[in-house]
Amino acid sequence: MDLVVTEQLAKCYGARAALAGLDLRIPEGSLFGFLGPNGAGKSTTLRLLLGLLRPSAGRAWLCGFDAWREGRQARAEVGYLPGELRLPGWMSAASGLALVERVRKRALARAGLQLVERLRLDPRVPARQMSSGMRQKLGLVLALAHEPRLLVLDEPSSALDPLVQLELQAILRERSRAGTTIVFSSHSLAEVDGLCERVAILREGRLVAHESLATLRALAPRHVVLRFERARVGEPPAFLELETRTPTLWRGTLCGPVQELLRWAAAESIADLSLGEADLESLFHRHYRGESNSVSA
Amino acid sequence: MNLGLLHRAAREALGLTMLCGLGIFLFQLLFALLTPVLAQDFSDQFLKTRMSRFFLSAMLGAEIDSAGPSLFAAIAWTHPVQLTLIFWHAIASATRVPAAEVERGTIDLLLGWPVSRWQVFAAELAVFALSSALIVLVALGGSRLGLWLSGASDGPGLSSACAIALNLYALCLALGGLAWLCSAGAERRGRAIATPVVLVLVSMLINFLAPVWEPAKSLSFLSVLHYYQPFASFARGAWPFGEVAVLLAFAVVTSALAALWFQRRDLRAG
Repeated sequence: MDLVVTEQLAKCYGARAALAGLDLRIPEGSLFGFLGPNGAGKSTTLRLLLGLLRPSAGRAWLCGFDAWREGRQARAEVGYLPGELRLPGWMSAASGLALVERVRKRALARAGLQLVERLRLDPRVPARQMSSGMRQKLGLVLALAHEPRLLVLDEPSSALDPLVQLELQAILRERSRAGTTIVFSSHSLAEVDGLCERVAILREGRLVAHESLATLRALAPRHVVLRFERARVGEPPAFLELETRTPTLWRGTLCGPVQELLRWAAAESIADLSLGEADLESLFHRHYRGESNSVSA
Repeated sequence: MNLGLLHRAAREALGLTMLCGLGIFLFQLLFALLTPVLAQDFSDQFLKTRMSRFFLSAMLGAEIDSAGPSLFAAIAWTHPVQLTLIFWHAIASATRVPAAEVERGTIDLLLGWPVSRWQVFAAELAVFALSSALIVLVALGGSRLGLWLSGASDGPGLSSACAIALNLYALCLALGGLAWLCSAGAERRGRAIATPVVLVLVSMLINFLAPVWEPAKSLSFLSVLHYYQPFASFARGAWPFGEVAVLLAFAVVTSALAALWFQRRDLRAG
């Protein structure tokens, strides 16, 4: 079952389109990353899913419920961490958990306090005395405590120190293994790399890629060094972008599948070939800059 | 009704309600304690000057013929200190959701929970109605305690005072409804507060000018303060049911429109 479905979802503010015709399906149990530069439409998409914004066109469903019309039912199964989280000044972890218990009509104290301990948060300190990192931790506790079926996290590791980021990744992996669907947004590739199975990349309100991370890795450029046995003349193949070139040494970037390079190399007199790691960062930057327009499902 | 939302709304309203309640209680208590002292210096002679009659008429919204216990009681219930605290409570409370919550960015957390906007609005409305009732009761309590402590025996009876308190409560709800309507579509609390404040000031101006300027008198039915006239009520000795009905109808209509607007609007990040 797909827990998140959008069909031609769009949001306009006056003449400006913040999101244009987004079609997306996120299957249950996925760990899904939403990537894009600031202002790409990530938060708008998440706010549309949570029913905070009304779609200008199209529809969205969350856990089988219409995100705008049946938001209350949908959110019963969702844990949400807003981007740039703000909390009432009086709210501490203890009072926040007690409040969410009453709102959700479920006992959360035990699970909540375990998270508080794990994220090293003092349960009695009110939000007005917290640093932004501590407030972010409290937001995570409130989003995770009821063990939701779907977690929607808008830039969850912003303001967290690297140790807590690692702890958060561990918690998300545990939740994912337990069957929770996790959707989170980020403008940083490092955050999704190694954590997500699938990613969607948004740019200027449009979906420019929707792939598994493995597929993106295969498409990502790699640094290549080719040493020829004798001087090589002639043009390089289209999938090689050369940066430096001598008669016997080429350095450049592979912009295509590895298999193509291997097939071409088999017919050449190559003394040595070295191939770097897939450079996902470059691929993402190309998408961000609009040099690539591929959309896959 | 969601108890968690009620608890949250009450927690948010606590500070303002306590502050306003304490201020009104002290004001009413002191005014009632000082009434016998003031009454000694205040004679019908004072009302013979045109200026003093004009200002008292403007403040009380009625022609003043003679000084007496009703006049002092009415001044206490229409005094700018009392009205400022009452209006401050009503407008600040009613502009908290959604305008203030959107501005400070906490609306995302609130509506990320499994609650509908109707439930949020209903909880806020219930807490506002209760806190306003508490403030009016505190004003009544301060006034009665002051009269009792001062030993004054010729003030308006409890029934008259309750009638004025009911009228004041209806005025609070009407102002709250108006403020809610302004808040329902606002992104900034300042803007949501500005409109009802301007309308209250216009109301006060109309009330002020109505006794002496005919065009203002013809417009006075549009002023919300036209339906809150303690002096006339004390003088009549009757409960102001007509005025209360108008104010309550206004409160119901504006609150319903505000709820509808809030239900349909976008909630953008603060």
